[in-house]
Amino acid sequence: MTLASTRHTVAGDEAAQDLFTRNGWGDGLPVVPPTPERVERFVAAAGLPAGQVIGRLPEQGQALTLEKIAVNAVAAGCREEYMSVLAATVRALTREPFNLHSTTVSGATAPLLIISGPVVDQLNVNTSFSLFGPGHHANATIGRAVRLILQNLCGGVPGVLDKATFGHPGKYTYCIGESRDLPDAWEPLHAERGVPAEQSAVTVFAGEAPVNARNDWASEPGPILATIADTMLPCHYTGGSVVVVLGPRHAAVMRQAGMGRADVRAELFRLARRSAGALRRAGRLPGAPGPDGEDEARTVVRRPEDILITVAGGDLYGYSAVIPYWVGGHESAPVTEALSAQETERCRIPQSRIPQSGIPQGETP
Amino acid sequence: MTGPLVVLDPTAEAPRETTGSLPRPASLSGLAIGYLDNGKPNSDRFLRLLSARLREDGARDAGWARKPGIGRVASAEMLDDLAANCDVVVTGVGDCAGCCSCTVRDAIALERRGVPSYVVCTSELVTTARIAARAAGVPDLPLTVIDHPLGSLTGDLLAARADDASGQIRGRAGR
Repeated sequence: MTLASTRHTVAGDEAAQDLFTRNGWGDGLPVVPPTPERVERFVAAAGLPAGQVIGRLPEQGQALTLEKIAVNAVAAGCREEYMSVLAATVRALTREPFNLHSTTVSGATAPLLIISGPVVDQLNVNTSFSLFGPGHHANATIGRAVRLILQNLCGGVPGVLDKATFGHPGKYTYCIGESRDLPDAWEPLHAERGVPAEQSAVTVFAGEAPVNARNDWASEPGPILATIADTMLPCHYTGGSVVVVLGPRHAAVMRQAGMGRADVRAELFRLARRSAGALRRAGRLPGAPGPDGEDEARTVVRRPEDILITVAGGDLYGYSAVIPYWVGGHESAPVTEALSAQETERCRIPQSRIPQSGIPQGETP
Repeated sequence: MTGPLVVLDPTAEAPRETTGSLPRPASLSGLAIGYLDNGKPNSDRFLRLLSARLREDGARDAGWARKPGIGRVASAEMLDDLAANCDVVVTGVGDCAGCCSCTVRDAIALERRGVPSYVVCTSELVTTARIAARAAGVPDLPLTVIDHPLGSLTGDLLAARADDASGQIRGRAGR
């Protein structure tokens, strides 16, 4: 296998860490040195030529090759079996509607990855407790690989091209799985976004940090949806999309009431709005209040379809989570990319090697 | 202690063949000037004020275009149209990380069509503009730099920015 990347010879592992730190190639945490042998293994696992261009970034004149994706995946600590998910993710990120350039270098977002379908089980992607938190190899390293790809291939070097005022913790890793235990008659997220239900897919969304919507006391959809809609209100009002992660308890209430995704979306769209006057008084719209139009409603999203509903999280408490959109709003749209049957097949970790995490041996959950 | 280790470069390792920017015209007098507005707040008002100043030098307005997306590069059609009708183009204002790189790429795309192009960006975005120009293979693309910020300015402050920019563009004529 011929690899095109420049080779740097260093004294050893520590010197490799220094090389990454000195050049601003990392995220501040130690990396796995991307040796040619490791990178070759990762390229082979994707089943494509190393030089294959997986996506392009015209705003920066960049072509993202499989080899460069593999170098960053190794550095992030991925397993080689994650490569097809990463290739699908890069295809999604570089689709024109996502607006990868601007969402990478401005605003306070990171691409949230929602992995759905059979690969969630195959790769042991966490869909449960501590959904956005640590402790799961696939979530931790796939999301981290995306971060390194954005930094090293897409201009997102903090403080240099990435001028975000705050950024957010999801810029280390922002990768979740959709629950495989959905309410009756609910198909996976990707099924309503153009991918056959039985396939696997990755959905990318330029998201700010998740906001919790707690409602532990209601057993009817109404108050729960009101809580979630209220959580949607602090947003940029620039017409983007919103991701709502229904916690399993909230999803169960919707299931009992016979609600589908479209019903949930319609109700959230109806509720999640503020008047122009209220926004102006809060300083969230420019200009002084005028005599007319202060009652005009400003919706969080432009249409119900712009609310993406998924189900995940721990099932002990009544929580959902809202992921607000990038400041540019409608200039970035979420993108769902299918994994081909071949790609899905490549996402198989030998059973004996599946990293189990979370519960120390000898303890009962 | 591990032995010597070979690691691969994780970055894009962009090109690299570079070219110089096109020579600026000796004078703007009599020239057809195009304006490519990147759509940032106040960029339209700023470019109008700048155009009024350049008309005092005998330049004439030959084309106005406003990009539909601030954080994206201009379409080939938009650039072709400006290139067909203008001797030089002024584009801006790059006052944010997302729009500034795109504005630089637009200017370089116009230069590749044979039209000398002036990029206006703000003082906070010079590094961004330089990185974009280097990545696009024209590292010495001249920049017209006005003080940051721009989007919130009104009246005299905005006019002062236009004075500053027109002075720099005039000063660069013939070099």
